[in-house]
Amino acid sequence: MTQVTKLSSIIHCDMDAFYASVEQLSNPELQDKPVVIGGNPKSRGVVATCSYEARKFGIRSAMPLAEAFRRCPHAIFLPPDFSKYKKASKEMHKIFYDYTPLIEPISLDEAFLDVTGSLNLFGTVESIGTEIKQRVKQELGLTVSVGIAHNKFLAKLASDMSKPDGFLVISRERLQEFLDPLDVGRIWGVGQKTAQRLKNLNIRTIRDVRLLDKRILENLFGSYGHQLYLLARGIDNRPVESDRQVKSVGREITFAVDITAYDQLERVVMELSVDVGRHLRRTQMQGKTVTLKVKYNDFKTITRSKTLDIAANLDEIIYSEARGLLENTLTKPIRLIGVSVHNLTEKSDNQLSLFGEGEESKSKLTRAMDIVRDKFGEESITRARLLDVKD
Amino acid sequence: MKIISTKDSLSYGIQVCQRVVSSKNPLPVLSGILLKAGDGTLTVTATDLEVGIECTLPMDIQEKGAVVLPARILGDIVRKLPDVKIVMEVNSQNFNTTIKYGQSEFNLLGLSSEDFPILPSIDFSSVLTIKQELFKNMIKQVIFAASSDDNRPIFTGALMEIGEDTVKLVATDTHRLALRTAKMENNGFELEKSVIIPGKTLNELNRIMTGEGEDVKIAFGENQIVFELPGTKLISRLIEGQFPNYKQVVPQGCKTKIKLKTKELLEATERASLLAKEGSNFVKITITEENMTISSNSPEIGKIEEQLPIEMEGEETQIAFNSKYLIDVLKVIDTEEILVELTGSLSPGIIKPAEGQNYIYVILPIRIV
Repeated sequence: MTQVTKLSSIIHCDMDAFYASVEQLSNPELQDKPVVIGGNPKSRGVVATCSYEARKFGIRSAMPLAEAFRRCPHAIFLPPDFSKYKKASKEMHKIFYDYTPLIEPISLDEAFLDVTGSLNLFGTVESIGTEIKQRVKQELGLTVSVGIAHNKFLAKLASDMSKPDGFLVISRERLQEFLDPLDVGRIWGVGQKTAQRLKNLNIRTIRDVRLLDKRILENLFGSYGHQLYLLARGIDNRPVESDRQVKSVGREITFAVDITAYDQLERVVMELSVDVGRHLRRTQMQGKTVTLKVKYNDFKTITRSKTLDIAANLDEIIYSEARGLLENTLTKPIRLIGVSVHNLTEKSDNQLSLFGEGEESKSKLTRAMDIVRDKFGEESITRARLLDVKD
Repeated sequence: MKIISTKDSLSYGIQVCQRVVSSKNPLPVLSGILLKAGDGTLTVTATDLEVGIECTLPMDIQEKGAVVLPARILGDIVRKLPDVKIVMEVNSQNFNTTIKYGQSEFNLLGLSSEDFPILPSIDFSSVLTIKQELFKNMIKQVIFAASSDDNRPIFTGALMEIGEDTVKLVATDTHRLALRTAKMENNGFELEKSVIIPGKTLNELNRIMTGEGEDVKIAFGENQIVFELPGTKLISRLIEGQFPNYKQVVPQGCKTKIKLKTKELLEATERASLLAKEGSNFVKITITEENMTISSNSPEIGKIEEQLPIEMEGEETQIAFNSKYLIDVLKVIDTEEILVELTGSLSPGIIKPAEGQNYIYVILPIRIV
């Protein structure tokens, strides 16, 4: 039997300078002015986003606020007000829902829509995209960049390339022509370090990647090499996942310099474990499986897991498991390390323990620390061991 | 080396030993089984350096010698051999081994026995003797309560306490505790002693013991324990460390005392566990003058509620338990009726047979938020 695969129609919607636009909308005095969301320019934070007026001064997301201030001292610096952005995001999703239930939110200002099944009702994918763009402008007063293609990678690429106020369709016929000249950094998943590694090998464009043998890519990048091979050909089979259930909570970090000291790794693992634990507790979750991921300087990646008897969300427990898994992994310099917790369940009950005086006091201490952080910020209280990590 | 064996004899010896072989051992020789042909006996040995098993079989020995053969493949082959006379011959130069059966033969690459560790020999001058049937029962009633979390090794084993006229076995994963006492007058052992035996060791021993025949003999070495059965010896390392004071956590007295049928509670709990919330797995138990109600609720699937007749004394109460902890113990209690003793919904409960004083199970409740 031949399988008839229906071509998917995916739309990627990405709001332009979302936080800044929402602020400008709610306060007309900010219109047409450089607005930087992130907080006090004297603090150590970074720019969350900024208006297009601010971008003219070279301000970018993730830039230290102090640097942004140096570039544009007369910019208006605002702390982020997430409740406001959430509300706007909800309004935006209401519009999306008029066209399809298959919506995968990536963040407050970004979402994939699978409209494959909606075409009979609304006509072409292009007309749906145009309509969404117009309605977001008219009903919410915000601009959104729309990318259209037959998979998620290309749809996101299309909206990214056409920003701001963009609208771009990558057709199946012309996709290679479109992809080939692009910088390797445009490939989904290629960050600064991977891009640099490719460039060191004189691989600069997607075309260069495409001309490489699959085996070479796999030798260079392990399992990600296979993905690179596919993405360079515009192939991406990830489905749009609506109402995604949280399956795991994880944090990982790619080091600026590969790490060879065990002591340093341990400290980073602690930092990640604390982060994961905090997130689990905030969302009232607990997990039974702790996983450690290690990527070496040769891009070989290993993961190791440990399943607990009882689901946990305390920093100590996550850390002690992760540290146990870390043993004997430092065989080569390490470029990335990650800690995650899987097998999640809601934390609604508490198994008591026979010899657990220690555990009870640990969870009390954790609760107290969480309250302090909720009130005075994440940096307000921490473990002595993590103190010098931040500097 | 050359031996002539029946399939069953060889297969038995290998099967007894094979389970302790660890597939992950970094020493290649330890992924093998040692076969040693002596005076009329074949000794089969396997170890992962924590547990070692040695099984001695009467055998027709044509030529003495020894070889180490890969455990998994040897086990698989021998199990699948036809039921005919089997001749095993080892080349003493390169340890290539030929297993002949009927007109066919099998060749395996063997290793020298020189690198195989020698199991420590233990002094049998002071020996504890226990009936197999009793010791099997003790292990069965206790070992499931041990933890599988290697981070806290003490809880992965069972404490064996040898007193003047009793032997006790205790295991706990900190959420429940099982304690079995056996009266043993004239156990032949002079010292009072307490050791922590790895759970894996006891599980292996339980597997090897047939439950009948000669008693099991137990002796101790420095940080080691050895169990001797006719033809088979199991040596294990002991877990070092201090077992927590279990006597302290066994509640004395209670506010609610009930008596009910073991099987009824087991079956009701098993049904309720089907709809217990994933993760914590808890079932709720409500006790009134009239009966016991067991219920559970999975918001997305459904709920269940069962009522059981009970005899009850004391206060009415409510408590939640991990259903697995209940099912585990109800499966190993062999009396028709049990006693359940509770003191409010946040204190440990006790489950024990309605008759006899030899078994106590302490179970910690779940606090429902």
